[in-house]
Amino acid sequence: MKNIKTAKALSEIDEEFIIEALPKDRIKVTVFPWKYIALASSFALIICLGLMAVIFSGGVESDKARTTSSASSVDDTGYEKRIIKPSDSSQADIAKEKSWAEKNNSERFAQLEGLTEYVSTNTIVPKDKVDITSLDPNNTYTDTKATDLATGKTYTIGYRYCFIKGINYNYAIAVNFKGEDKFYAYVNTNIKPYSFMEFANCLDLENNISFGSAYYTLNDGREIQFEGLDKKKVWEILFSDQSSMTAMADPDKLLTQEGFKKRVSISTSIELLGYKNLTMSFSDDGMLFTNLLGTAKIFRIDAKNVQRLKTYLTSSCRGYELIYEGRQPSESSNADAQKQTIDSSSVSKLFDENDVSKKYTEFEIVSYTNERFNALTYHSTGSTISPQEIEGSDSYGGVNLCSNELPDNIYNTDEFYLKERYEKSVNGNLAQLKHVKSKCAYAIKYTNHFGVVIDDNWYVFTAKDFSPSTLYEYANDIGMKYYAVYTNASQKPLAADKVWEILFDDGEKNVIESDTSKYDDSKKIAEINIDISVLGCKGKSIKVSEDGYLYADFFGKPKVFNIGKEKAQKIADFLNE
Amino acid sequence: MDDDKIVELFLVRSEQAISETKDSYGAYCTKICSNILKSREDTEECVNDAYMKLWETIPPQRPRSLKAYLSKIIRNLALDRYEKNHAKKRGSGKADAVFEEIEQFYCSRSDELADSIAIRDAVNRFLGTIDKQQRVLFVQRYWFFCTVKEIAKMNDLGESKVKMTLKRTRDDLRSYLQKEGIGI
Repeated sequence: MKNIKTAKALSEIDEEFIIEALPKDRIKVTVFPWKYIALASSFALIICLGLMAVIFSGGVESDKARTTSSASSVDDTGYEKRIIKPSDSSQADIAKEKSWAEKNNSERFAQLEGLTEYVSTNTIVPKDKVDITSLDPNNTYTDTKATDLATGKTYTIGYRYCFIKGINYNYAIAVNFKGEDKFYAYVNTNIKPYSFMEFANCLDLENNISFGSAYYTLNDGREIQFEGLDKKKVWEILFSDQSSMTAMADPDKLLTQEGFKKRVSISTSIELLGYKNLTMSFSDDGMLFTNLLGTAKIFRIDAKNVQRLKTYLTSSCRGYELIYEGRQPSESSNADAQKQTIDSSSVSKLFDENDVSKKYTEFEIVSYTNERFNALTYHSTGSTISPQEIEGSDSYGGVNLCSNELPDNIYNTDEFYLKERYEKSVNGNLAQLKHVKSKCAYAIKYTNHFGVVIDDNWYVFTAKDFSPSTLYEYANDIGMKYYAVYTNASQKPLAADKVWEILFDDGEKNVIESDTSKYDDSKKIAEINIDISVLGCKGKSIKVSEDGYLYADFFGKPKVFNIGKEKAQKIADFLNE
Repeated sequence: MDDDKIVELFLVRSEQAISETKDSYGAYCTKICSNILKSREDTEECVNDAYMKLWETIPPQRPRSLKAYLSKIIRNLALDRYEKNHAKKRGSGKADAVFEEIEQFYCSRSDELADSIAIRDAVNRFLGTIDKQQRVLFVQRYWFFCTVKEIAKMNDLGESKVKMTLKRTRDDLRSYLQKEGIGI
């Protein structure tokens, strides 16, 4: 790699610059990227758009088109009929290509050199929404080029960019061209949110979105248009709890293989970014499809929310049955009505494949204390804990977790590796659990690469290689005093204080045995069942043998401690009582 | 023990110098190294090599800042090892993303020493022209290989601000290098 040479050349920069930038704090926690990366499975944007066009061809039309209707009589649907006349597309819809002179700069320079991920939406960002403070203070412009296809002539212009207030800059930015005072919206159409929460936060959807009419598709394919939606009400119904709204990584997979049975669609706009009359469509089993930002996105939302939306529309909004003039009744049904019913189990599977809590199951923490270099691997327990059980949330900052779906041939090309590693990994905020030492467990809240929370749960990860030297350390470090629930062989609860007193209070004397075979199960005289639900330990146990060994298999690998015959007998007596 | 005293220990060839350096900068060295390398083993070896290099070079060197001097040594050793590993396709470290970014402002076309000297001098001049915060962020990212999150935390800035500033600095540096006739 030639850029290693460049990096090496930078080693010799002036020492004063290095001293000036010396990291102030020791970084306590470092996580190496996990060694697995998911199999490449990116789908082409064109396919998505094509599918969207096919699937939604009958279902989502602009509000403007729909208003060319006239009210008529009342039918058995109970709604007034509204006749939709076919539009004459022979002339009017064929827009004349603008000449170079007629285009503004955002149309001429729809993509910018150096910022190729963003595309112009030909929309002026209002001045009060432009975050001027994020502009380059030196007022530097970068040159970009574009060619007038009519003449073949290439033009160059300087541009600069800044944030749009409330919008994450990875989603959209405001661009200003030299000689102008306007700022145009440029949007990253390739962004792939992990969750609806991320999508909503990064676009400040709650404030920036607006809803037009809603379209409810009946079982026979007829369509009811509802008007007068209350944005706040709709938002509250659909998105008041976004914590479990995951995104599908490959929406086209669902659209092609499983179909998408749209039940309700809402005409949706983000005018700030130049998106008007796009769609948010909902299926009965709780999926949300949208083409906001120009590419297909599907999120799983609760089916109950869709049901509540339907109830709201039918009870609180004015509806019209849409009759498409010139179409046979069978044609009036949209494309979805002709699709086979969705198999909800296979759809769940598709979403599960994208469930971060199942995908990112391990991470590694390397800590540096004095001269020792310690690495601990933490594994997901799959369990979550409440924020009350968190000690100093987020205080440890971010970790990087990569998917465990890596193929073996990831090193075939560097480009593949880099791209996939980025796309198939997530970040997480790390926090300690109350009463549990960090060498035993951590809680993680998943975020995307921009630090936006994508799943509101705290997931518990435990260190399988935790190796205490005494029984007391074992019990104390995982917070058994606070979290363990004990039962005897007949599942009767045992007093936790008493168990602690007998088993662990003097546990510092009970050292670990490296040879676990010292415990002989045939000599077992006592057994206590243990649940530590906060650490995902359920149905585990402690066994004691008559020759004074304690076998513990409730956290990490099985361990054997030498507790002596006297204590072993004391435990047996306690259980017999 | 402060840096001057540790350097004195090196100068009088006291082996205590190594243990004092380890105590003061062991974690720091490991951090820099692990920012570039993925492997624990490689990092450990690299850090030990750095202590050895320190022992070999002081004296005659008498660094003004032991920390900065040690950083240079460890960085070079880690980059050498990274290059070696990369040639063998033994995986990549966190540094990959940084290298990608470096490529955005300059990509060396040759192994010529003159090329390295030219880029070093140009970068030094460029760093002298930009404001302090921009410079600090640049050095922390491309010299210390810190993550954006770490940089944001160290400088009490938002991650977005850090990313934006770095991008702007890269763009400026690219233009600067082009003007100097050594850009891509």
